[in-house]
Amino acid sequence: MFEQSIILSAIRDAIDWVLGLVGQDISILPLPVQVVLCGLIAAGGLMGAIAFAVLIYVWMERRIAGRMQARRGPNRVGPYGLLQTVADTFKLLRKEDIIPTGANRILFAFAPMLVLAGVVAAFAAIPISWDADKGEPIMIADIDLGIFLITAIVATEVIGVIMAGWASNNKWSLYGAMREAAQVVSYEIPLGLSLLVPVLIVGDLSLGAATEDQLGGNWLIWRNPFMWAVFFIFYVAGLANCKRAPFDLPEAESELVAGFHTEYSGLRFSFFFMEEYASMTLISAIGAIYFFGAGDLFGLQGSSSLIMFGVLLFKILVSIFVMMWIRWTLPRLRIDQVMTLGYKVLTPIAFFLLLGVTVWDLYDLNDKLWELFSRS
Amino acid sequence: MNTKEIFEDIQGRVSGVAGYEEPEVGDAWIQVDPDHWHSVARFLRDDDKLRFDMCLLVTGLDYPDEKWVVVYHLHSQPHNQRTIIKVDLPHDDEPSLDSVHDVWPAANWHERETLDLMGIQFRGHPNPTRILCPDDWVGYPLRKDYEFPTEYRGIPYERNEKI
Amino acid sequence: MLNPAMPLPDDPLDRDILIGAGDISTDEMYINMGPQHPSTHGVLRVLLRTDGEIVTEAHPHIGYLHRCAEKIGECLDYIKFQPYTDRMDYLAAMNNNLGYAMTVEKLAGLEIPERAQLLRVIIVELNRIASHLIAFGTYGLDAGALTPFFHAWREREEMLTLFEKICGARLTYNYVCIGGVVNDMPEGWEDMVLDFLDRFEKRWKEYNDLLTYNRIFIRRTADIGVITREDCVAYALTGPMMRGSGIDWDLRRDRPYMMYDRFEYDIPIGEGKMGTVGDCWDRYWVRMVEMKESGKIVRQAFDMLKGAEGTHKAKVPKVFKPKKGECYVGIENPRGELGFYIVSDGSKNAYRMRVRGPSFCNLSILEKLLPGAMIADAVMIIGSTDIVLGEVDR
Repeated sequence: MFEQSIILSAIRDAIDWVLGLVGQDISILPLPVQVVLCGLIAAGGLMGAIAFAVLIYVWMERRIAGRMQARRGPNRVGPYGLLQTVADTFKLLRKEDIIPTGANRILFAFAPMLVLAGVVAAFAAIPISWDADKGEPIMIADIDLGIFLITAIVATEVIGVIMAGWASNNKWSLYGAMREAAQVVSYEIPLGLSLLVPVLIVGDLSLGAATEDQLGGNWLIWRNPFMWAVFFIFYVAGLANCKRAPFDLPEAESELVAGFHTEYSGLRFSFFFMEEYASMTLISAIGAIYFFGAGDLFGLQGSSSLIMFGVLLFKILVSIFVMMWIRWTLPRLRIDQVMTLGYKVLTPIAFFLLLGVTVWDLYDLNDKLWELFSRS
Repeated sequence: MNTKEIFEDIQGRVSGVAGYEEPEVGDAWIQVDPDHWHSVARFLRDDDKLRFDMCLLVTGLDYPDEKWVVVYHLHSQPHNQRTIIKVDLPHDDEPSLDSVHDVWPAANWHERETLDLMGIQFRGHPNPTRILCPDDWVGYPLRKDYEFPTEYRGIPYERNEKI
Repeated sequence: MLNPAMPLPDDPLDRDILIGAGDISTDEMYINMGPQHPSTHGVLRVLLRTDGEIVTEAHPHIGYLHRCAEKIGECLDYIKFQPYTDRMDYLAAMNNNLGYAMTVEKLAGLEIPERAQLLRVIIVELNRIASHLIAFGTYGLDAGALTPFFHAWREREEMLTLFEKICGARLTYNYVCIGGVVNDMPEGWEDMVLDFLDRFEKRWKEYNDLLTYNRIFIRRTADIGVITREDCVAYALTGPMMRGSGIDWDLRRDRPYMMYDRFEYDIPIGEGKMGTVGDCWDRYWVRMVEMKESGKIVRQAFDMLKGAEGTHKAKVPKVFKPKKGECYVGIENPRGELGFYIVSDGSKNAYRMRVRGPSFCNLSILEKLLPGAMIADAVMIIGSTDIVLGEVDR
């Protein structure tokens, strides 16, 4: 169990050290208890990290939006308004938790948790860096089915949103939920197909393997001429999956008031908010790992895992910036246009690209072209 | 054509045109008999020389103990000319007139407003309900004998205590 | 689930649509858009009957902002009613002031000096730009693009500062008054306005890059909410709504008032550039071009102002009693024909004050326009009518 995960074994070592202070040893705990304990600590850490990241993202989004809209954005609380989101968080925490009269209380309360849990859980299979000494990716769980697990577990978010929309007993919420169901489920097809391409090239479903494969500047995006198009499809489908503009139809504020989270307030609302940013991060992380070499910077980063983490973080932030840029520039599509784009444009192209990449790899065209090039 | 020429033109061609009047200042108008109003309206819209295809405004006027007047401001898009038609109704409690919403769809909302604020019924109107006031409002606010209610659904008109 | 209380339609096709061709049954649903809704531009409530995303019936309900303006007009004397006209179409308060002042002047037979007329033209056309800026910005908002709104607001803010300089108010100006304008323009105001217009024309191009020619925006607006010429006339739509449908009609040119016959400007009409004539994009585009044309008029007016005679205001008696009579004056408001119909019985109050709000008439076509559109289209259609609820409800 612990052999598969550097982070979990590090946590175990830390517990061991703490127990050593009272003259004990980790082996007094039975193995299942150890696993659950370490897992809980890792989950808590992950949750905290995401919550912190969301604080930064919200600040970033507001500043960027301000810049693009000829205004300043938050600039009063703390330096550069950095503490504004902290203040807003406290405001959200103190707000009354309203459950509408006609709502289904259980589902209404459960939905935000389900929505957030799905996305956060997916981070367990994301390698955050690379341990050059051990030759292993640093991640919570290096599962062989990595990307498969992620796409599967993220899909639970849709159920949460439908639950939220239905349980709210509000017709606008219901519209939001139905749009979410239609849109996100449809876009999982091009998303899955575009993710199949890097999986095909790497030959492994684990994201850790993808990290290893791309070390030294050998990024997947350079591997064959189709990859940029694949990445484009991945990014568009990813945007649609995060419900970001121009695909923010489930919450379309000018049409559906606030869509599926119209009736939510306070902490429960902030869960939806966190989910949006968490899934943006997830999509950006998968994009960085599967197309842009994860923590690799053409080998320049050396063997330090901390720098590699920093490089990955930078790539994620660039991608998130682009998402924000798109959001503050483009109008929203209509639901039928979204569906048309998904089924009639992105899916066929993704199929074609998958076929192209397969043929390219099958005949090893990279090497053949290289030979042709160097001979002439 | 100005209103006087229009009056002279239509006088013999359609029945129900009752007269022409000019006030001391302002615009002149054509008086139309209420019983013939619908057919006159249709004539005004369809006649090639007139073509009053736009109904700009419908107004109700209250002259207590004398008459109700419904005023129609018409505009002709092809000929760029305007005229005013007035229809007098006897001053009773339930004044009513033929609706012309089928001639000019624009009159639909104006007639509802006239019903709402002046209390003039339009026969044949598809949706003769109040438009600006709440559905359960009592009385017609623009009538000259209207008394402002002291409360509406428990909301008093005057505050009892000072703020 | 199918509502058992609802009878099934006889037509098999309708029945299929209603209950679904197979086992999945669908049901129509009534949904309230407004009075609190982000894109009804105020307190408009539209009761929609929807089949999934498609609107099958629409019933606009208005009156939430009814403030009895016509009744107030009967209770106050002519000069005191002036500020109330600001509150009707609060986005184009100058134009409303002008409409009212012109009606009373016609009733009283007042002659307005040339200088006052030119000042009126300048301020009214500037207000038209300010009003269309809101139409542009909020239309972007309806489409889901937030940024154009802030850009439009930046320019509007500059304009409001200009208005503040000339009359001291930023929203309800009460600047155009009976007999002329309240005061002459301050020193240096002309340069500030011309400066602003130079900047504005550059930014106007930015707006088009940002929103007008955006492919998504075009797909959201072209061929949506098409109003034919016949419908346009039948529902008495005026202003950009009418010009968007390809009817070349503008009160300023075709029934000239004040000095509008002495300016040179183009009147944009919808040509179906991106789709059908009379679609949402055409109406939007007419407003965009009108902003530019208003700028032209303002520049010409400033040139004429140099040789203009008279002062900024004619002599007006403190209490005036027009003779017995009545008159109607319609002017070209940013939203269409704004008409005031005043009946005078010779006393110092109006006997009957009637306002033709252009938004009121423009809104009445919603019942016909919305069925068949999707909910997202409904938002775009309501946005393209550019209503101000203060004027609809008065």
